Amino acid sequence: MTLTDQGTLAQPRTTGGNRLLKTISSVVPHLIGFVTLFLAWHIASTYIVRSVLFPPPLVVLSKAVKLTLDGSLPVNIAVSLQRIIIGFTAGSAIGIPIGLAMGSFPAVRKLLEPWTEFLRFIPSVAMITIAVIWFGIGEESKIFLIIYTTIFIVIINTAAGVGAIAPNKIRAAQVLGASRWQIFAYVGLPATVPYILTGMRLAMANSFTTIVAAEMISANEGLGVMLWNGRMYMLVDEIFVSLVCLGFLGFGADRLFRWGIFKFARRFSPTA
Amino acid sequence: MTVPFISLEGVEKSFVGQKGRTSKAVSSFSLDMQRGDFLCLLGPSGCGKTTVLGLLAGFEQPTAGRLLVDGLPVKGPSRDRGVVFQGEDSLYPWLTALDNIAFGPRMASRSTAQARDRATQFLELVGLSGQGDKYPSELSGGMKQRIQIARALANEPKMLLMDEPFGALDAQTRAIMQRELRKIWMETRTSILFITHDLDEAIVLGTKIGVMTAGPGGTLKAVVPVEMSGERDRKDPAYTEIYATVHDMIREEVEKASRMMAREAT
Repeated sequence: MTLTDQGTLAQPRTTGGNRLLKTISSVVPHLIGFVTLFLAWHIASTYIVRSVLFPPPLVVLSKAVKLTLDGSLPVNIAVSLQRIIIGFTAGSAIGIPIGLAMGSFPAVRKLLEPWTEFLRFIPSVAMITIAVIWFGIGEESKIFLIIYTTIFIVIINTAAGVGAIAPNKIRAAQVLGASRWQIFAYVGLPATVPYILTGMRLAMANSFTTIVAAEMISANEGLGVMLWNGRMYMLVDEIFVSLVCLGFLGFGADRLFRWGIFKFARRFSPTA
Repeated sequence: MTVPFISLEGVEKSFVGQKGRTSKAVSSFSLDMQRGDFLCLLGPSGCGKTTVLGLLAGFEQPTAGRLLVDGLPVKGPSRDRGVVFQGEDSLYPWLTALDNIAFGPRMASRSTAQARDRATQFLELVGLSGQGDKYPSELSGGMKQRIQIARALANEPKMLLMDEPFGALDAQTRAIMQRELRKIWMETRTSILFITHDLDEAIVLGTKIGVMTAGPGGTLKAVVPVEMSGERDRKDPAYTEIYATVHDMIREEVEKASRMMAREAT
């Protein structure tokens, strides 16, 4: 009896602390994971490989600080990110409605499937040369390639999401008096959101691959340019700075999507 | 002569299966229902009772025969006939329990506040006051079926079609749900067509029991009235009598079905 009383009394006081404790304890394993990654790198480069071709993390960090201070690293990151964001947003914005239409109407699916099923097997990297010939070495070719690499995955996942809706969800809406349009807006769309986000998450990973490859072949700025110049002038430190930045940026973008999937998959409320 | 509320006349439904074989799910099925009836359609699995419900809901069209509601043929799904599905996959997991119930009123373009007001009443009716802000994933199987019942009732349908709604629940929860449903029906007097394969459930709930013949291509064998009022008591002699009568009918059907299967095998 006293135990329960104490428990109920103690609870409100400790929830704030508990939440902080929970956040810390959920982040700690992640932090340990990162620390061991860099520790392994440090050990491998300082004690095992011992070569200027494999710089330890601290050397790479100081190089990163130097490049940040002279302004070149922020510019390269910003340029690459901007290309990804524009192309990825445009690709998703075009892909989602097409995917919804393909999933909802068999005729549209049959009409567009040859396009999607043919083009998605031509990797975006294979399209770089033609993109440069068509659009030049400026922003247009990069954005074209990111759109290209985004759109098919988003289309296919969105269409699959529409197909995965339980028939009883549609039937329930019908007997509750929903019109075709209402069923699409209030059942089809929210039920597909998790699939759309998953497709976008996969497309984001593709975007990173594509932007690096495209920038290595033809660009003046960007993380891919850093990699290429590093090879040309044997600036191994710079190559590593670019690689680490790509890793962190990708990780960050992916976290954002996982958070979105978690949030929207359960909480998305079209009537609120 | 008055027009019956629900009238099924010689309804037949066949499906085209693999290799173009057609199989009859229901054949020459005729049934009348009056307003306020609580009819339990009882039959073994595969006899086509869910098909009857699907036809009446308007999800499917009969191959032959007519389905009339208030003398008018069923053309498709309508808000007049609410459905409670067997599984929980008909609930919307991105909506709270309350917003799931408010879905119908919302579709009828009522304001969110009005719809939620209404939903709150029905949440109370199914005994879930205070649970409205929970999501379906946070509710138990029994609670989810309560939400489904409330969602269907909040739309004020002329009748409720229930497809083995308690089939997936454990025995205790099922007994509680049966008592609650009986209470709700006595309060609202909504006409209900209730599909079940459980004879006990049919007697405890219904005012009439429609016994189906064994499938495939089942039809209605007989309609047995349940003349017990108020809350049903399994110790009531009437219960035992109906149980015995219907049980004999079902046994006949099972024997007939197994003879048929034996004949087909040879």
